[in-house]
Amino acid sequence: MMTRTASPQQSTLESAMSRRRFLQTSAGLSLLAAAGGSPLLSFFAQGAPFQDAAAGPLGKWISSTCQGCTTWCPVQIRVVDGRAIAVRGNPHSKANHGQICPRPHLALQQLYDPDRIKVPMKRTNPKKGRNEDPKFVPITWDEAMGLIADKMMELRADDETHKFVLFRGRYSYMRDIIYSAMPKIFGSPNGISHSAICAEAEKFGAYYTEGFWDYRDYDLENTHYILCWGADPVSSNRQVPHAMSMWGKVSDQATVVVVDPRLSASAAKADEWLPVIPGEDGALAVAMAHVILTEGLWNRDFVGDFTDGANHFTPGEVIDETLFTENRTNGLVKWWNIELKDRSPEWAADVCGIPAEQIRRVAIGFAKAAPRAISWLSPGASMQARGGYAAMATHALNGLVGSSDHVGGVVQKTKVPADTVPDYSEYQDDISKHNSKQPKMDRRGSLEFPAMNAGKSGGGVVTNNAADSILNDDPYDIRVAIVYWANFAFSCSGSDRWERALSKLPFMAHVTTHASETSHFADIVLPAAHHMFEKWSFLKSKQNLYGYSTLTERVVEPMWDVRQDETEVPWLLAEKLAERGFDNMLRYFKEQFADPETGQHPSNSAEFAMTAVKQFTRACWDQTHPDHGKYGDALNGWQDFAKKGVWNSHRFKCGKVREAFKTSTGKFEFYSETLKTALTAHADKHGTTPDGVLEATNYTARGELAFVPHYEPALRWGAEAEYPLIFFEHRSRLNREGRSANCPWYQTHKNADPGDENWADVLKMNPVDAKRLGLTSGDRVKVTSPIGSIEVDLKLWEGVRPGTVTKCYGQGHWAYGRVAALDYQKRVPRGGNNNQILPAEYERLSGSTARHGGVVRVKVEHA
Amino acid sequence: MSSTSGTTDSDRTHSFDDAFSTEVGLANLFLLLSRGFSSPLSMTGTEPAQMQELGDSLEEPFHSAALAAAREWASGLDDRESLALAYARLFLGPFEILAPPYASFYLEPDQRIMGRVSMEVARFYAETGLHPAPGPREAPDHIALELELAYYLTHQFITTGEREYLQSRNDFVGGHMVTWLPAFASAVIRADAHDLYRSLAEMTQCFCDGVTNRSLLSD
Repeated sequence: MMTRTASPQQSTLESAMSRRRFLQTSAGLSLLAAAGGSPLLSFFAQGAPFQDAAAGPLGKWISSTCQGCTTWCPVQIRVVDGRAIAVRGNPHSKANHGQICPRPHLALQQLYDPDRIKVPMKRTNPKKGRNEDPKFVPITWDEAMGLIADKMMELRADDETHKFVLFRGRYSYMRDIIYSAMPKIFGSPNGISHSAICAEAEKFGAYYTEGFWDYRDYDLENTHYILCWGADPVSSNRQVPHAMSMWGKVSDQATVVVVDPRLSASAAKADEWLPVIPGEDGALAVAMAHVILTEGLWNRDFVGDFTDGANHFTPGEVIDETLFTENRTNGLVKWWNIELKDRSPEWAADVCGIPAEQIRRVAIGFAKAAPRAISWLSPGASMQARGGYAAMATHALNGLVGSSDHVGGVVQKTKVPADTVPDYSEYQDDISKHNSKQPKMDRRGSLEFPAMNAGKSGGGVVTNNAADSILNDDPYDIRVAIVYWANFAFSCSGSDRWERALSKLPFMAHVTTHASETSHFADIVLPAAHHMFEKWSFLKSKQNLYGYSTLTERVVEPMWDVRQDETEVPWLLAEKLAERGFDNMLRYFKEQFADPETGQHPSNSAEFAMTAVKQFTRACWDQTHPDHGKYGDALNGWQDFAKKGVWNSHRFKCGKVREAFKTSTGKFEFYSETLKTALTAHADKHGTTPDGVLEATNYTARGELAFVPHYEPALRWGAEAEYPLIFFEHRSRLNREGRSANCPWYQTHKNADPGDENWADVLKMNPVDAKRLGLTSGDRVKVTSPIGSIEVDLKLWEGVRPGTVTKCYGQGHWAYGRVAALDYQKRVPRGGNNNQILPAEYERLSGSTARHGGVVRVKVEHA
Repeated sequence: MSSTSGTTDSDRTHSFDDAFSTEVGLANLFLLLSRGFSSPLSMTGTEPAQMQELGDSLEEPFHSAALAAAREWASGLDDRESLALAYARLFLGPFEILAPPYASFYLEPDQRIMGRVSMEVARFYAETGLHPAPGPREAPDHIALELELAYYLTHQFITTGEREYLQSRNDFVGGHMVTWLPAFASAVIRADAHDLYRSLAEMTQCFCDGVTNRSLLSD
């Protein structure tokens, strides 16, 4: 590259003449230089290597964590000359075997994306809207944080601090600084997480059967049967690297069955594919339960048996409960009598579209393989408008066959010790204490939004309803918001509401690595450090029966003028609030955080970030911590932890959880006393009955049916006559949570997802439907639902169930960079955002957004 | 972006033989273009006068472009918000950068930075004896950095007389910068965001043309 281009044949005379044509006169022209004659340099200093030479010419591997999905895999990054060039799994990690999936590789293209936010920016056009030009201009961090602090101090002056909201998207476990301590010390109850657009309904299934409000782990190594409910383990959902590395063994020793209206990557490799009608998973699950019972294949050791040893589960017949003695479960016969006795495969076949014979075959195979069997529940089968009970039904199969907390089955988790934010109550003044107790802005806990996280009414979040709260000033008008690591204007269904809500917000700051649709409505945009390369934090997760604590590390010097979102940003804000007379937050950060090794309190934002992560993870590496070495690795100091990057728990041991499930009865509940208690408490709170709650939350069940896993018909928007096709979306093995679309590698490898095309965002339609509609592959089509439309290319594909159409989530950005958007000036996206045609529907008992289950019907026509 | 130190008349202590005058002009051109393509937040206010002075010394077409740049720079500093807005649209974003200021964008297949091109440039800096100044990290192949390097090497040649600096400057500018600056300048002109940037881009085009077709760089 650095070769000369000047022709050696050019004569000195020509050269001189040419050069003279550059300079007219030298009179008065002197060299621009600093005093003393040294060069005027802004970007450089003289006398040392340009890059950190410590890495050496071959570089070194440095540990960090990928947050491209919610597995949060320990990884290592090869850094050469200060540049991240490659990623691998962390060999110290027992959870992912030192393996990774494609996602962390894509992160390299995020880090070095010229479209990243580089400096703080300020909106200069007060008008907000998709078609308004925000007219952002660069400003300093000092000015940016000052502007935010000014707005927040106005709230304090007006005693309206509760009208501040902190919206959280993806997070690390440093989250409680910005999400909890910061709002609460300031005086707001409104830390609003993204969780309810992710997978909360999934937790509903495990909690109201076995008292576990969390994602499960799976003993793949020892399993003999895997029944995936919308799950695509080798591609998406959780534990992808573990599943990828184990799937060969799994395929050798186990039967794999995938229930999914789409031929997913896992379905393509499965023994059986059950292309269920979207949203009717519950019918399939209860029919399988019916078969397992009528065939006498339940697990006697776990469930119990009839006192006479005979099988009295006869289709259609009610059974005397006293005939059955249960062991580790509660309410099996009640479940049969209330729900299962009539749920034959023949009944289910008509409802869910899977032949009765196949239902029976799979149910029998699953039960016979048990207890080394896994019923793997995913968002696809639970994040549905009536998905709470589908989640219960699919997870209850694990109870029925005794695979819950069993070798080769579905298990809970090990303890991963960590500390969180110190008590901040002493730093709350009267305004803070009073206003922090105001109702939260997302209306959680209201009659129609129970959001019963772990049984507590209003304990969860109703993320997507926050847009309506802003639009309706219900329960009050939000005046100031900070959004971090989130893009709700793109990622929430009914995204048009978010565009209107964010347009209405008087003041909003967005902390992000990349400008996005949400940034478009911001008043201030703040450049965030990339979690995998530029940020100090930690995460807790699990795979392969190991829990772990894993660090994200600053493996390279950050690009541009970024700050760490969950630590540095609140510190900088606290400084500005202190300058304006409210120093409680800064005092809290300075006084309650101290480096465990030195005892030093932080004096600036960077020190605060490091201090906090060391303080929170102390149990993993500090020998003076009471939990050090108690639950797993006994790391030898901070440097050891930073070098290895991961702390591994002891391996989970099956068999203890089942001795006392954390349910109301201590048993695995087919008749859920836990849910009955929760629903009754929520009903009492609103002066109604559980039936009243179910009516308000769009469920059809009444009476005792409310307390057992049962079938609920799919709820869909749009009349079939006008919108003949059921639309559902799926995930990509390349999606870094919807943030990949500006990576060229994402586009050039998109056909890694079955049925998809490179550099496209195709709507996949079965050829049978296409023929009827006169459409073919490559057609530009308009996809219209009752709430909106998008235009995309059509792909005919046999891998989608007739009567349905599907499209991957993640594209359709009109503001995410020059690759993701075709033309930002005209707001033309590449592909279409599913959330423009998906309605804001909910699984209200958990507060979840019902993004799956075919919640909307569409019509497809030539664009 | 880093801040720029101001200069005063008293700083300009050097006087040079005529043989070096062209190099002085080039050095000043590199430095002022570097400042021009840097963040408006870092501008000191002395730049228009310096550009005016440089323009007075130059032949056409540099003369007109430099004088236009001096005028637009002065008026731009009177309305910094418009200047900042144009700077953001052209070089910074968000959402869309109309004229990405990175060599990588024009030379790398995936238009990502910190790849082969960035690192070759970084190695060139290191060989030159430079390292990044304290402050936020910018990609090595940002136009303002590359221009500052060209200024530095020219400055060193002028002040030391060591021809190695000239050789390095010519290698870097002639072998690398002119491979992407024309496309960059065209993008700036096409975007039509602000007259200052148009005139700076036109100067850049003139310079590249001079290098490519008129042996502007001396041996």
